Amino acid sequence: MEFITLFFLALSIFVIGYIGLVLKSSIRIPIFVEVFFIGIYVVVFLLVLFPSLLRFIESSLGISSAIDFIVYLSIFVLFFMVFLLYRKSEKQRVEISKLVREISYLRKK
Amino acid sequence: MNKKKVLVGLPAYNEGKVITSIIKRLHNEGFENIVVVDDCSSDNTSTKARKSGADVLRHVINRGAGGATATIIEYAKRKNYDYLVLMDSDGQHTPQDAKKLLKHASSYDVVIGSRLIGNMKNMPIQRKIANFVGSIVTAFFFGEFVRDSQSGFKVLNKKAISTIKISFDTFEFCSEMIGEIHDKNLSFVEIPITIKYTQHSMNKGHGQSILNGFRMISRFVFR
Repeated sequence: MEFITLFFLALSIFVIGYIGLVLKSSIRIPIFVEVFFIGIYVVVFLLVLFPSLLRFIESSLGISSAIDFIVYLSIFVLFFMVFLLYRKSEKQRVEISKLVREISYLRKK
Repeated sequence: MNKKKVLVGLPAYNEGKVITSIIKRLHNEGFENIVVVDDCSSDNTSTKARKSGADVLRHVINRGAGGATATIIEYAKRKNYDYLVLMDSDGQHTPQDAKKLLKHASSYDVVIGSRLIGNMKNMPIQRKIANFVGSIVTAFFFGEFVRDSQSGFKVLNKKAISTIKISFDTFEFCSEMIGEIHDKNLSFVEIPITIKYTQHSMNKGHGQSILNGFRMISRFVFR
């Protein structure tokens, strides 16, 4: 087994383990988010361990390069996630401002 | 106009050097009700404003000029004021102009103090360009062209106080207010004002940089 394969296998196992530990902590995360993040690294783990899966994906989807497809899909998903995070942080910013406002009124009384 | 029904709102951040003189000038012109929203200043803005006779609301976290202005509008609404004068607290705006704007407040929902009507000789060129671009961007995103869309000097009547909602915490709130005027069908007029550019106000800069301009556009796109 080549060094790069071992490296990615170790990295995948580490990240899956780390996500598992985070999810076991007191911070509650929706179940679909847990499945999504663990799923990504399980897929990475399987593709590194069984590169022939890439040929299977190529023939199943009728594309010439599964790696290209995965990279493009990842970029698309990442940008969309950045957008969702932006929306979420904006919503939280508005909520914090409301809270700060209410505190200022309460302290004035 | 009975000034007892008028509230002057000053959003302030580190204005300890000038806040006393501004409140004093407002009192001298007959404005009795003044509220200062101290946006978590690190200096003695709150103490000085309180000693000068103004009501003070203090933010426990810095929210920006928009956040402080929204606090003032909500305060005016809760205290049932008929008119709200919004002024910068760095000494750029004069109480005399506040009186001038108030004269038109019975005929319009919002009176905007415009720096871009009449004499603009003392306005630095970068401010002129920033204000012009701000007005074009505001018209594009909010559908209402106002010559000085970035002016922080405004008078709101009761209808405007109760209907205008601000969600942006930073300098984009001026454009958002124009959007609210448009969306809520509020009447408005622009009245020329005189700006006193002091070293203090120039140092503060009001966030009108090119970088902030791009930030403003991106926030309007994703709002």
